[in-house]
Amino acid sequence: MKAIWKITLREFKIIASKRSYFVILLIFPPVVFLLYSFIYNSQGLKNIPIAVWDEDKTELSRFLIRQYQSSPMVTIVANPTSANDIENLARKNEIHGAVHIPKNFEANLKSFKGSTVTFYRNTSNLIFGSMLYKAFAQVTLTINAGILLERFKATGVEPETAMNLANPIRLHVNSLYNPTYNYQNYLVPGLMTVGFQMMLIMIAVLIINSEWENNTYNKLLQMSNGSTITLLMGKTFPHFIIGLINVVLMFGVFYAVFNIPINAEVVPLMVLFSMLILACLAIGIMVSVIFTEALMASDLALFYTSPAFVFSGFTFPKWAMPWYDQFYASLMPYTPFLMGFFKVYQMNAGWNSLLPDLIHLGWFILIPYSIAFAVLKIKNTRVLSDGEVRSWKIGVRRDVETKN
Amino acid sequence: MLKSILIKLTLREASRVAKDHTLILSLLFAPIFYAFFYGSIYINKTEKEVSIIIVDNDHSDASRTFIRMIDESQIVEVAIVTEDMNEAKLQFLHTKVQGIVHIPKNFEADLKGIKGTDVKMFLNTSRFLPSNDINQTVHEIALIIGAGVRLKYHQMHGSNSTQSLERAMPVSIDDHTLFVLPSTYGGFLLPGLLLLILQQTFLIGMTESIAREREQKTVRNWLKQSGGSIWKSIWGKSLFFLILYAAYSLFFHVVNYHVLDLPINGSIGLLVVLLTVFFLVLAMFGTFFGTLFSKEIWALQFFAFSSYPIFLASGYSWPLFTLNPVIQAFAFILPTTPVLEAYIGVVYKNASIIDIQYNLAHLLLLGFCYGGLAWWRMKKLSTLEISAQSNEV
Repeated sequence: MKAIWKITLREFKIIASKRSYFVILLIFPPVVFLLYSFIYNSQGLKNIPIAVWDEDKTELSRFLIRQYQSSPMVTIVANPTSANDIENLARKNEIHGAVHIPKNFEANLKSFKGSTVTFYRNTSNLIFGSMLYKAFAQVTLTINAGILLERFKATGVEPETAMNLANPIRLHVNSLYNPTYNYQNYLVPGLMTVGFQMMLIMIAVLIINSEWENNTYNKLLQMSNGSTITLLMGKTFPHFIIGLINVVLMFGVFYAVFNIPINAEVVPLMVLFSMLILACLAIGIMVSVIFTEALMASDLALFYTSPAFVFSGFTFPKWAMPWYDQFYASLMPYTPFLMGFFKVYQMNAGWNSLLPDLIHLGWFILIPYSIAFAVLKIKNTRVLSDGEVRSWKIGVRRDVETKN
Repeated sequence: MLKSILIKLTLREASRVAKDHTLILSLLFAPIFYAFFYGSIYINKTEKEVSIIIVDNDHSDASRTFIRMIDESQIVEVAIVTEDMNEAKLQFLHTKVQGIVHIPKNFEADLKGIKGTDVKMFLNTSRFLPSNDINQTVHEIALIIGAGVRLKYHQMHGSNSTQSLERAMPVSIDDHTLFVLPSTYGGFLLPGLLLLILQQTFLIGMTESIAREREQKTVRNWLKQSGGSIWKSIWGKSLFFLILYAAYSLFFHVVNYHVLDLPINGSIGLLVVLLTVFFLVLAMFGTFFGTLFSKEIWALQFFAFSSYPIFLASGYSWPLFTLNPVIQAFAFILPTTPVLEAYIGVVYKNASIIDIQYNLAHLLLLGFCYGGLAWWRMKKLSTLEISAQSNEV
């Protein structure tokens, strides 16, 4: 226990004195958290520039245009006179969509004939594309329902029946967990956590090999009394504590300042984060033990961690990916963490629901630590079998024998 | 003279890369691996089989038709049909399904009796894409069934088929996609992603290489081989990266675009011009940042953490004009911002040079600024090297 504590203190001193450790563990997290929170601070998408091509120029077409204009999502900035004009404006990024109201729009509707309104959407940006469709469709369907209602009433149908004919299936949508489709509440927690796991792994890959590079490993082994487990525990503990501090910073400061709601209970949330921290440290330490060159280990860590966000199924669901990508996703601790995080953070689901993800994360702690232990044990035996360390090991044994 | 110095420095760089396995990993393995690996996620382009559970309390022909129509849709899959709302809630909480649709008792009877019926839908909006897809699909199907109810009503009241159809849906919608574009998530993300892979691996490789010069104290040798000229030393190193990334660009646009079935609607000539200007700017950007790091590993760490913030701030995923002014200012100084807009313009929208003139001007401005900064940093480094040399003497 004393040896673990000594190594822990030593590691804290290393973190405080090494510039790259200090920057990545203590400076980068708040900077990156702040940056992500700022990026999506505006929250909603409003006033998307669109054009209206009105070929009818009647009272009804103008009414329709006023309805589009009243949607907070769009703002009408141009009045083109052809489809070509619309394409040219979109090409210059002056508009992201357009509506075309055809000739005889009012006349056709008055004479009980149908009329077609065309939506032009720039789908090269999916966000604009889907938001505009929603805004356009909402207005047009409301107008449709209004026209139907008036027509049915005009033919002597009871108002209630007319309403039921205009809208036979009343669809009541209950959007749970992020009802306003707030982009900040959706994306920022994911971005913060993915950045967090990346920082943990990028530093963890340097924990052991830096000792070899700096020729301080023998001293470390001496402090651990030759015990691999003591060494691993002493090295892990400070990083675990700093990880937890960053979690508290994330929720206690940034969520509060940027009004990101948390539906979670503290205990399952902290358990989940603790397991993520340990899993990242375990993987990093395993790499650090195997690859003695720090730069090479960092390169590998970068390749391994940087795809975590897209592969985890955060923005694009896992089930839509090919099987090999799904398999790769399952090899990263961020994937089960994210599943659990959604359940805890937004859905406030119970332990039962969280358990499979915790078990999955548990494997990421158990397997890499076991590998790291085995490899380090072999390397320690080699170190102990020659030179300096062997002599102090013998010295320790002699002391013990003398005491006995 | 200039030509021979540039060739000499390019060969020197190639030899340094060949001897450094981390640079080989960053420059030769990473771009190809990332391009195929990331690209493969979106190979299906759009999500499919978004699972929902349906609570059917009616068990009628109409409810079964409603369920069948949802299940036959391109994206949504009806995973379970049940009568028990509690079971549905459990499946929903365990995230086995992304939504619940509840069909009430008397669904068919109420539709036939023109009483209207209330269908409830519960969506897990913690993720946008699946919830949006379910919402849109179920809405569209409800509208189709609603139009069918009106169609029957009009037919029963003496209208012929055409009149009934027109009267059932007075204003119909024609949804038209601008340009010839894949309106899918993969289609939207992949071009930006491929360009970002090129950018980040270029920057990691170049900054690592320059930081390594400092770490291994070979700056003097680098400058000596350029005849003491700062610009020649910068261009000599950059030329290697420019040649390598010209090859990658060709490969990505021929092979990856083909494999991922992405269109190139614009002029190839303009694309070449845009990418050339972009890589020249990146060379200046990379030189400037590379000289700031005295250790290779620091350069790697810095650019490893910069990928996500750079991409997100560039306005590709969320429109730039809605972002915080501080972030907009940050985005302005990144080459990623103008190049992504121009790149999508050329590749997808068949934009002309006039359409992307401001993006090109923005890129050139950044090129001059970072070029100046790169020169200043290199000058400083050379001064340090000379003073180090005189101290040694």
